[in-house]
Amino acid sequence: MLILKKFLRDLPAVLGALIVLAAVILAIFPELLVDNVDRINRGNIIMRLKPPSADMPFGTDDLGRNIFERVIVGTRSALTISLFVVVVSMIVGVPLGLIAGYRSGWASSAIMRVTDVFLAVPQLILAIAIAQLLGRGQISAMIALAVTYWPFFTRTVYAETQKVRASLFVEALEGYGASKTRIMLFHILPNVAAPVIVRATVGMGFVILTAAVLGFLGVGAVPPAPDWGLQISEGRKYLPEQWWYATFPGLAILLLVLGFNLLGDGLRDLVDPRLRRS
Amino acid sequence: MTAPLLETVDLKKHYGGTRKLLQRPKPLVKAVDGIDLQLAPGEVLGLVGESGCGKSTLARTLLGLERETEGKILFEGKDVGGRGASAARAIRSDIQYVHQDPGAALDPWWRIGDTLHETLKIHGVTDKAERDARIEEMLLAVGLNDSFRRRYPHELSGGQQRRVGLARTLSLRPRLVILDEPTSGLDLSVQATVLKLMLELRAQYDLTYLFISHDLSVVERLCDRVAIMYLGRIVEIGAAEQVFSKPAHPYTQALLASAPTLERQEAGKPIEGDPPSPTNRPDGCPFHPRCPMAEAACRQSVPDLADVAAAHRVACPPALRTLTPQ
Repeated sequence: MLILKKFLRDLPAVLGALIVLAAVILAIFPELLVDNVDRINRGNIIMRLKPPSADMPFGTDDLGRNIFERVIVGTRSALTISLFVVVVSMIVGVPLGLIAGYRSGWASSAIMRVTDVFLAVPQLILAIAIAQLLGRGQISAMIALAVTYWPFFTRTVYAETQKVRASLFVEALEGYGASKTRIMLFHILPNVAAPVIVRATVGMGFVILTAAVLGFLGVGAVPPAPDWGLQISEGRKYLPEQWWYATFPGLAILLLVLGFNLLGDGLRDLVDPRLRRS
Repeated sequence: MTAPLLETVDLKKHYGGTRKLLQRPKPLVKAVDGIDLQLAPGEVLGLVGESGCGKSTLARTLLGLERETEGKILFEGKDVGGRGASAARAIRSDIQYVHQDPGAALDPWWRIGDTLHETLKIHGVTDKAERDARIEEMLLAVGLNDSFRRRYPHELSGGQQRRVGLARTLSLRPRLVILDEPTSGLDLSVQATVLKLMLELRAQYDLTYLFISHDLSVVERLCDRVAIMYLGRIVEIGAAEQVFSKPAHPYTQALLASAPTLERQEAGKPIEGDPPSPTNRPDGCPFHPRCPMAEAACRQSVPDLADVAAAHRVACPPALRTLTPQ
């Protein structure tokens, strides 16, 4: 309860939490703001490229589709991709980091060297290459991002595990004869959980951004999916006259990434008050 | 003398000195270098020495956390040495350890009760009712009530944390308890109650203590016998009152002289120089570069322990000659 109170006093973090919450609600129930979710891909050539109006607050695109509705429905795919990527990266990265950090020996060195290789290559370039190899589509974008994102978790967990491993209570447990698995699962994991959650939260925003870049470059979602990156890439051709086409999906990305980053920053401050922003 | 509970014969623990593939060779560190020790059942043996003299390594080796390089460890006459960490811990479950800082030895995320349960679970007590009974008994024995089970480590005071540490170790029903600096960081009144508690528990549960400390006044009050350690070797061992009243080894004399006392007196002459690095120990007696009694022979060979009086042994030939004229 004390933690909740402290969190509520952190205004930017609360703002971030509200943005994320709103996005999650819209992703699950787009019907709240969209009349007919099945119709969002259906064009209407007569209504082509209409500027924002009271009826269509974000205007229409080159096929006469309602951009507002497409942006709202796009929330779902953005969140699905980032959630999938972050969860898969955690499932792969956290145990590897734990093992590498707690044990020493060739297995641990091998894990960390592979991680270093992944981290040395810019993530986006590697993701583009893998997505390109797998063929166009949202699934291959997700796989490509997951394959390139797990090393970030391994690094974080590795560093934290090394810190916890040196602490006296782990040594005491070893002294009492606790098994390595028990120490890793029940003692080190909870103690490294906080930084992992922070990294996951910030990572959600980061993955949304990267997924949008993939969509924009044409290796991610395929038309007519209401993907934000894809919409920007299509709307780019109509800049600057029909500015609303590319602007509103871009603002959606901006807002959601900002939300995750503010939330992640707030969580980090809760976890580690020494990192309080000035 | 009754048969010793624990005996070590020429126990050695060396680190490094070997060269691994693709790695720089590490210098050889003789942390524990030939220790013969006998612990009688029920006694309290104090182990005193400067930081870095190998006290903690000796404790870890006895516990089985480190594998000895050479030598024998006998528990009740049975050889329990020469095993890897987990096998050694299993066979030496009669030997347990109380940490220097028992607060830091508790997982901050776990309630006291869960930690105590876990310790028993690790040692194969599967019946929950039995664990509960034992925990209740132990908490009571160390003077804490049952409500402490629901607390987290940071909610306890230093003295309470130490009591929990004792309860945790004693719940395993050990015969020999290694206490590592059990009173460091406590104020004097708490220190006194904790020490008193330890003596009570020893009587109640038939325990033998190996008491590691550099607080000489505490050692004098609590221990039956004292062993003085210097650079991985025992230089003097004997009954506590003997060693404290008639220290034989020049290192012990200097150590006692430099201990602070309440009476106003001339401060003893401090030991000159720093302890030599264990990676580059001097030939012969390791203490000779700092020793006021050093003579040529001291540079030649490492002296062995020899009797000064009954149950009082010292590893210093010059001191021995002056104390026991032939």
